[in-house]
Amino acid sequence: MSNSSALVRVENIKKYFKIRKNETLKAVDGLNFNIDQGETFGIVGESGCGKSTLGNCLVRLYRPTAGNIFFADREITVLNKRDAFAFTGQVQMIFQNPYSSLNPRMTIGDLIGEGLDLHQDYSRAERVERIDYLLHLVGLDREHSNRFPHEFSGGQRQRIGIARALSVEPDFIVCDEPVSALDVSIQSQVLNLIKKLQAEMGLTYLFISHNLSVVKYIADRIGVMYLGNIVEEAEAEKLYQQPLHPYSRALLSSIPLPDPRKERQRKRLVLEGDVPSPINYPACCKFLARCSKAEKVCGEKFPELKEVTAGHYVACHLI
Amino acid sequence: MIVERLLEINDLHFSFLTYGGEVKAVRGISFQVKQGEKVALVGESGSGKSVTAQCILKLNPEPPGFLKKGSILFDGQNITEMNEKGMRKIRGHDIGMIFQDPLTSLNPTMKVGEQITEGLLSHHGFSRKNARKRAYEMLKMVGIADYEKRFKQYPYQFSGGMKQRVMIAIALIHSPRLLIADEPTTSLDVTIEAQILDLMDNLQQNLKTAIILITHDLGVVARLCERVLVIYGGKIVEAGDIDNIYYQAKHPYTWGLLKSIPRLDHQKSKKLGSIEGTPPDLFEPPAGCPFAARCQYAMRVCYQEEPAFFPITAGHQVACWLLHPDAPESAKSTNLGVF
Repeated sequence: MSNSSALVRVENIKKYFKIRKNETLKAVDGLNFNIDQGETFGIVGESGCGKSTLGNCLVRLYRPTAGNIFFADREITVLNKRDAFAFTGQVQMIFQNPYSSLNPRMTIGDLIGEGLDLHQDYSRAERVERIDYLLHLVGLDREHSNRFPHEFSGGQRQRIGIARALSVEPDFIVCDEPVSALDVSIQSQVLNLIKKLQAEMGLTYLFISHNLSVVKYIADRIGVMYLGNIVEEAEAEKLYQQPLHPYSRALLSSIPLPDPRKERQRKRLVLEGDVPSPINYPACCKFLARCSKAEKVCGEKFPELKEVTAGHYVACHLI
Repeated sequence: MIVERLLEINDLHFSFLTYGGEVKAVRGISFQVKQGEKVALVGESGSGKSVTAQCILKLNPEPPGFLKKGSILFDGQNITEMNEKGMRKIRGHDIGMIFQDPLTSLNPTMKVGEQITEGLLSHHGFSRKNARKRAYEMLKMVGIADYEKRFKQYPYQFSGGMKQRVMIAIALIHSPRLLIADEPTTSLDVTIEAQILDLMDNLQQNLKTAIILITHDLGVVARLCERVLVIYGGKIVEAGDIDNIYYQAKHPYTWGLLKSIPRLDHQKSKKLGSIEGTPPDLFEPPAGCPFAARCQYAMRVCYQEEPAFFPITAGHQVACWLLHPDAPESAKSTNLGVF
C-alpha cells in the first residue's frame, strides 16, 4: 500500500482517549490506507467503531495519538499556524447534522462567504457573485443568500453545508454521514449532487456512513471498520460480491433489502450480541466475541490486514 | 369475541393549532387492520404517519392538536369518543407501542425492572412476586441474557439495542392484540436492527399480535410486513399487498420512493432516481393531489381535484388521476423501467 501518487496517505494512525487513570478508549487503533486523487474512499461501520474520529483526525479537528497523515505528500498532524491555515483551504468537511452545523444567527450568504473572507481577497461584487455561483452549483437560488438557516428544510440545509465546504475550492472533502439525517427522496438528491460535483470539480472524498447501500452507491473503494480497525478493504463492487471477513459478511446480510421476494428467500447471518466496549480491549481479534468461526488463534494475537487478492485486504487469521 | 377487523380507521382528520395557523397533519386517512396482520405505514417525515399512529392511542397533545373528523374503531369500540380513563385501560393492555427513540423513552431514574412491571402492578393486581416472574419471562423472550441482574439495573447500563428490547418487553407484557411500532429500528445499527426485526417477527408468529410498523425504510418494510400503506401529505396515496407495492406500484410517488433508495445491486454508472422538490406545506395543503407539484406526470386535474381511490386488484388501491379511464395512455403505460 505504499502508493506515493496518493493524495491522502494514512499511516498507522491511532487516536486514544484517556478516560480514567487505567482506562483508555482506543477509538482509532492503527489505520493504514491511501486515497487517490479524484477517488471516493468509503468508510462503513457501526456506531462507536471510530469512523467519525478518523474523519476528525483527517481534517485536523483531532490530533492523532500516533501515526502520520500525509496530504499531498505533506505531513499534516503537526503544522505551524500558517500551514494549518493554508490547510483549511484545501480540506473541508460536510457534517452529519444539517440542523446543528449552521450558525442560526448568520445568513446563508455569510455562512457561505465565511470561508471566502478568510481565504480570498474578493471585492464586494466578486464576493456576491461567487456566493451566487455556489448557491447555483448546489441547486439553490441566489435570493436565498439573505435568509437564515431556520427557513430551510433539512435537504436544503445540507446543500448549504456543501456550498460552504466548496467555497474555498478544496481538493479533499470529508463527508461525515452527510445524508443520514435526510428522508429517502431528499437523500438521493443530495447523493446525486455530491457525485455530480466530484465529476465536475475533480474532488476527492472520504465518505463516512453506516448505511452500506449508500456507501456502495458513492464509493470506489471501501474500508469496513470494526472497533477502531479496518477489517476489510476492497473495491466497492468486490466487497459486495465477495465479502471475506466474517464481520463484513454479517453486516452485508443484515441490511434489509427493499425487495420482498429476495427478502423471503434470503438466508441471514444475524450477529449475536452488541459491539463490545472499546475501553481496554485485549490485544486479540476484536471481532472474537461475536464471530461464529473463531478459533484458538483469534484469541491469542491481533490479525494484521493482509492482501488476499490484488487490492483486497482482510484482517482475519482464518483467511 | 374475536373480530376479524381489529382496527378500523375512517376518514381521520387531525390538525394542530399553532401560531402560524392550522397544520393539517392528517387529512382523511382510512384503513383497516385485521387480526394478526402486519401493516406498514410508509412515508417521509411530516407525512402524518406518526400522528395517525398516535391518534390510535390518543397520544397527540390536545391542545394544540384536535380531531377534526373521523372515527377509530378498535375491537368495535370507538376510541375517539372514549375518555381518558377508558384510554388508560386500552393503552398498554390492548394496544402496545414501541417508540422511535429507545434512548429517551425509558425513565432514567427508574430501574428497568420497575418500568416493566409498573403496568402489571397498577392495572392488573399482580403481586410483586408474580409481576417479577412475568417480567423475567418477557426479558428472556426478548433475548436479554442475565435477566435477573438486568432487572435491577438502570437504563444507562443498557446499550441502544438492549433498551429497544426492554421497550418491546414493556409493550408486549400484557400480550396486546395490536402493537404499534414507530420507527423501532431507525436509531439502531444494522446488525442490531436485524436482531430486533427477527425478534418482532418471531413474537408476532408466537403471540399473533397485529403490528402497525411506521417507517420510512422500505427495506425494513420488505423484511417484516404483509401490507403497505404509502402516505404523503397527510393522505394515503397507495395501499396494497407488499408485492403490489414493490413490483406493481401505480402511484408516481411510490415509483419515486422505490427509485431513490440506493440498492446493493445498483449499477454504479446509473444515476440514482430522485424526487425533485419538497413535500407540501401542511398549513395550506394543495387543493388537488398532494404530490402534484413534484409529479412529472401531473395533469391539470391533479392540481384542481383530489384524486379518488382507483381499485387495481382486491386490496390494491391507488389515489391517482393517471388511473382514470380518460387519462392519456402515454402516462399510464409509463412504468418502472429500472425494476
